[in-house]
Amino acid sequence: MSAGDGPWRRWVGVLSTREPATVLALFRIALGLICIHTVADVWMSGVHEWVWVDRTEGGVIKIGKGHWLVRLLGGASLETTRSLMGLALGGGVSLVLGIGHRVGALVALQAFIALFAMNPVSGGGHDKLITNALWLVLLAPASETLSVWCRMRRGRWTSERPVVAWPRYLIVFQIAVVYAMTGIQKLGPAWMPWGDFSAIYRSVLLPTWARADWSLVAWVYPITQAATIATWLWEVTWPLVLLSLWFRRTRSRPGWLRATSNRLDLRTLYVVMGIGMHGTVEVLMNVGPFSVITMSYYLACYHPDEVHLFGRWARTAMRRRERRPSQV
Amino acid sequence: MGRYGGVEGSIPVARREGVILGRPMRDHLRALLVTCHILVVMVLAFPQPGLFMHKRAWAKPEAQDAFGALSRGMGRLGVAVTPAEIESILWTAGSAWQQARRKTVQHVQFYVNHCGVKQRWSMFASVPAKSGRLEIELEQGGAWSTIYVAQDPERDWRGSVLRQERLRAYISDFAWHRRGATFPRFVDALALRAGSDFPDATRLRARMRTLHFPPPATLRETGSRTVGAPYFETTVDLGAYR
Repeated sequence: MSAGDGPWRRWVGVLSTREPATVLALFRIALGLICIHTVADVWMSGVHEWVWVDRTEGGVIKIGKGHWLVRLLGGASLETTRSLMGLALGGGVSLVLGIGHRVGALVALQAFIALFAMNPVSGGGHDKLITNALWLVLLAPASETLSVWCRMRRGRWTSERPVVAWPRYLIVFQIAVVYAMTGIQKLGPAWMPWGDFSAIYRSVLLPTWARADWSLVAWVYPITQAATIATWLWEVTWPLVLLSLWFRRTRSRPGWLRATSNRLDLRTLYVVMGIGMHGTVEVLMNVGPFSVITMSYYLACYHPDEVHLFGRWARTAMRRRERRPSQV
Repeated sequence: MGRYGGVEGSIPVARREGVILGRPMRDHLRALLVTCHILVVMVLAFPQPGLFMHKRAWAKPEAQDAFGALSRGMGRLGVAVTPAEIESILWTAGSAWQQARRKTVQHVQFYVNHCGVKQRWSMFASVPAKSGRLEIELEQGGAWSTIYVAQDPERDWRGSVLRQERLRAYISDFAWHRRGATFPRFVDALALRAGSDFPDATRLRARMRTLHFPPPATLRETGSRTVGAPYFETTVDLGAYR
């Protein structure tokens, strides 16, 4: 094997892959909507006056000097918080519209980092998922299609001009890391056989997390035990999705494992289970934007060609439905 | 074959200038940066034992129970190891990993902090059989009345904000018996709002109360979680907040 065929060259080749920007654009739009919702939800509830201002102004914590952006805006006051929320909101709008999206992502990223740093206790995994996503979208040519920029530059809303695919790969990698790492840290007895697999049962009884008193869960205890096992296994094995994506990319190569993974569409099995799990969590528990931001990462599991195919199928199905009444 | 060449669609990049190993210099640089990002993410994401490396926390009955359960589980698998030995092995391994991780992370801290790529994914790592709920009482005309109990739609003063996820996350720490020293600050914020909402009220009292999650058979019979002892109870005179 020559040096030119080595692993590094192959790796460079993978990261130089180009494809239409459809998936990156959809991820950009989803992220923008989540940024807008995150700010709007906080703004409308008024909770920022509790968690993102200093205790001297009615907040619950002593913020001190705060993030550099907070200092630049004059300290941890209500005005500063409102300014940062406005910046994050503006960034979210720019992401949805797809105009100046890199600047929008940068502004929203820095505003959110400053806000989240004010009171790290009042956040969760969703905050890190949002900032990680903003950083990846900032680096990605995500306005190439489905954007005002595309309309202005090319005279149409969509474009199939290929762009680099590595930001999409990093989005999938990030969510695989999230699931695998949260899975391997679930070592408490409630996740284990000697703890009776009671983790889900106990979780939905937590008074600070559950949306209501779900004591009725005791009647479906075996289901919660099965859900505990399934959740743990699903999380720790999520990196298999990366393997299944590699198998799809190299589907012309031989091997029964590759063929089986592609036939079963392992990735979609994981995605469907994820939607079911996060949907259930969303109904039963108050986890903020965690479910939606996590599921938005799933978009990156699909190649733009697959999204286009799905779009065509959906349009055809809609046309058929529209025709039906006139035929009656 | 996809439309863009290759199965999933790679377009052959045909650039001739600055080519190394058959690829433009730009592609190598991009691959290098992406590789660095992946390595940083992996190092940061790997569990941080520092979160759990507290002797006092390890001495708590819940932690000792976990070591006991692990010891029994290992015993069933034919590996005889005492809870104390498990604790010692975990402490040694955790300390070594913590030290190595700290040295690595200090070199990438700027990237982590300013590019928003923090990676700490410990979620519901341990779910104990008890937690705490917030209760708030108000004194009006010499009599105390309860104005808020978590998950009680009848006593739901400022419920929409207390249930909002960001404040819920903050209160959740108190439910785990953490940051008890800061509970009075939270009560200050409650008192400030209660002072304006109830002009004739004289005092406010807030506390967390333990809720035990009984085994499912018991919960099916009783229909509710077992209410336990209060903690972090704090009473304030509302006059100071008006």
